[in-house]
Amino acid sequence: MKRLTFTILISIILFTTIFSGCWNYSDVEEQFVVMGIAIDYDEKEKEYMLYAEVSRAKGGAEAETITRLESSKGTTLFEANRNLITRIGAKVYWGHTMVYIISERVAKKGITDVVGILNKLTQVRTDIFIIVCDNDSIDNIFEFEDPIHENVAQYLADLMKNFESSGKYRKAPLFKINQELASDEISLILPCITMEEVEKDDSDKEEGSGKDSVQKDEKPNKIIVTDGSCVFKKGKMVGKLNEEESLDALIVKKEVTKGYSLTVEEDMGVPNSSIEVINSNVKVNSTIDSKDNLILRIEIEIDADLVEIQSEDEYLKTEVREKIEKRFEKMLEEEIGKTIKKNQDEFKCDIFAFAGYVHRQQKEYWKANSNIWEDIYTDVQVSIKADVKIKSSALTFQPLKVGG
Amino acid sequence: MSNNLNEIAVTRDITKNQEILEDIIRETIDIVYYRFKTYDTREYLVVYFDDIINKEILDRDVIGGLIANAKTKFNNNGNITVEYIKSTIHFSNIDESMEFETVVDRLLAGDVIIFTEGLNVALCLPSQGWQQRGIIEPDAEIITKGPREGFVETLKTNRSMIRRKLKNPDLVFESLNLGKQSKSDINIVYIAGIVNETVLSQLKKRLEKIDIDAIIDSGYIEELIKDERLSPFNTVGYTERPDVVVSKILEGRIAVLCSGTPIVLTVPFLFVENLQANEDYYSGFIIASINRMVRFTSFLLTIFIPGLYVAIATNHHELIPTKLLFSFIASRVGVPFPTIIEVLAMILIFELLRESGLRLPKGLGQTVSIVGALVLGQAAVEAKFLSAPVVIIIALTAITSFIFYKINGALIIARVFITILGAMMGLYGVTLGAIAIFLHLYSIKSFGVPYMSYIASTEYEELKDTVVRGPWWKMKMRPRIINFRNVVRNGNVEDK
Repeated sequence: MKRLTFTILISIILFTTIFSGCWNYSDVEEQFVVMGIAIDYDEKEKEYMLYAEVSRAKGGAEAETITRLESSKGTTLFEANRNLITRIGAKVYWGHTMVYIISERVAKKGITDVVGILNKLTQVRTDIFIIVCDNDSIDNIFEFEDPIHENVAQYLADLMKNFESSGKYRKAPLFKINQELASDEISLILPCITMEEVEKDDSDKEEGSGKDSVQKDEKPNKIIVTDGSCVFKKGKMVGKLNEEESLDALIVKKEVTKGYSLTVEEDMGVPNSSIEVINSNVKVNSTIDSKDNLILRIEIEIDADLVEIQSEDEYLKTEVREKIEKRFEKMLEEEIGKTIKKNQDEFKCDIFAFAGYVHRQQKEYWKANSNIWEDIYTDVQVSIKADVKIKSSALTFQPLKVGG
Repeated sequence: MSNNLNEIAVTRDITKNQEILEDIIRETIDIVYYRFKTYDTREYLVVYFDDIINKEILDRDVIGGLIANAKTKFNNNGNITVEYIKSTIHFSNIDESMEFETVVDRLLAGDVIIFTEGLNVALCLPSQGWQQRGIIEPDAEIITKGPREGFVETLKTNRSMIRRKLKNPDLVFESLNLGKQSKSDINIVYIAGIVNETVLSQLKKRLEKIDIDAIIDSGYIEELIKDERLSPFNTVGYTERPDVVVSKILEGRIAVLCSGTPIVLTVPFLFVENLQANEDYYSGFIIASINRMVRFTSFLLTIFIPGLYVAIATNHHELIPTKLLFSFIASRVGVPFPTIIEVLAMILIFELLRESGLRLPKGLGQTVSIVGALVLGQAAVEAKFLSAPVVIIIALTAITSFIFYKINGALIIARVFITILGAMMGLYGVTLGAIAIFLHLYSIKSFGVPYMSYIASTEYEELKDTVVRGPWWKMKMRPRIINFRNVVRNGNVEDK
């Protein structure tokens, strides 16, 4: 009996991993791998526009790739996909597609169609990243030339993979979006990108180097930058969070828990300073008061390294450290409060999955009120308590000594 | 003539005896009939094959003894007896024979036969002596730590190597002759009390059935006594090392020694023995276990690597990491043949190289390796005849296959089988092929013992000498499936 169970278990594991997927013979070089796809919608023609970044390896000892950008149209996305054949000469292969970019137009129209087809196409991986792009950049998003990455899709995939260190945008693979779209207890947010001319971005960060201005003369140098998050309600985009608000939302959602940085400006006797979060934990407690009102209490606990402080004081003294901690706590409480308020008032979208906490913690209340959750959510009283603990000071204890 | 040999008895007349022998044994230059008379006028006929006896012993101890004793101890009562002759010859194990059948057999095997005028008894003196190869380390089974001696072509020397290692009254050598023309000496070796009696009687039965012209190498016997004759897997083991044979018979196996070859067979042979090497037991159990695991991995790799590559590269592009896919594509662009043809061609080329390199004189061997490495490896890739990943895949297959050179035939068949299935049905085919191969492996037996014993065991005791080599203090039992009577091998049972 034991042996039989063992055999069955092994067979199930083996068969499900090996026998899933379709099989037909084709040699690797016959594949035109589409690395990235961008989707736009033409309101007048009532047609989808599909921009594809198709890669092929050059023959030879080094794995160099040639990338071709092509676009096609179709009433449905699948038609547009097949119309690509007439432009490229072969059926494109979706098995290695990394990013799927949706224009804001499409996002506002509703993403269920465009995400739905990803689930139906047999070749698509479920970890394909979905990104929203603004309307003006969508048609030339793949024209961005990044000398470090072979193509835009790889750049965007790298961008998504490193989301946690930045914290200002979200990583949204297809499988996660499927879950969130299906769930009643959460509203979807997706990362946004846009294209920006380099000079604008550089002006306040770098002190204008000569080389950049020379390049500017040749052609307008546009780069892809992240642009906060899009908020969706029932599959339709209702608004945008900027980068700081995105960070606040992701902290509360517990999607970023370590590695990201927080910065405060000079205030409360604390100079400009940054901490690197080692670990952050969020607890959401829901209580019902005597008047049958829901109250949410968010407790944020953060352990951090004090990485940068623009001061020459001995900042590891207990009093100083406590002051810094206080400053960060105040900043977090204010900012997160504002972001939650914005969601409650403007979007009426529960992107933080508070519904889930209430569902788990106040079962009876949820049963009675789940159908009017949207109304409750917009009015719910949320209090935030941040607890920042500076555990260490990165590599050195002492500030840099400057002698006479 | 030879059919009714047993009816011819030795006569008292040595002239007649010589005539009979000359009648049986065709005229040949290497036989010697030496007639001489001693001082006491007795007449002797000494017959032997000149090239396979020790002439020195014959001249000094046999003939010298006869002549010397005739002078000093004059015995003239007329009655010659076997005892008298035995007392004059300086020789220990003299056999007497009254029939020509035995006489001829012994003569051919290298005995010196003495006929005496007036005695109807022939004396057989086993005084074989010939040049033999020195005891050296076998080329095919080289180890870094452990005994260096290897078997030679002479049975006696081989037996001595086993006896020296096992000073055990239960160690038994049994002799039999096989081959209608060659009459080769075959020895069965086992330890009474440990040996599996069923296997022993089965082996004897199969050996007796052999009715072939000649046994030139033990490979003849191997193929004739093997179960599952069509299976490419070996169910009879072989080795050139006495230490291996001794350890096998200590586990209850039986060894078959064959004169004229250093290859000794052992039965029953289990699959797990393909993974074992004698050095595993001489070096520490940790390194031995690592080596075992390496070998086991190699076994899987050498069968499945080309098939998996073909399956994934032609059927499951989504399983290849993106960067690897691009490097596959880069190497494939411009190659005219489909992947499956490439892989099969490369397998064939490797086998060609292996076979041509194997039997070449040493000087030419270098040419083969240069042609193989440069022309096939580099130029074929540069000329876009083959893609680089295929060369790498087959090189890996080749390296791993050398670990199992004893079952190379089976591995080639399994490899090609899996590769073709992989091209047809992808991983589905590879899995089906693997199931088929393992079903076959699990269905065959070696002398009644399941071939895959121990590999799939769920019992702790039995797994100690499989994919890992357990430390000696833990391996207290002999393999129970071969030997079930005398199972304790390490009596020093420690407390936990």
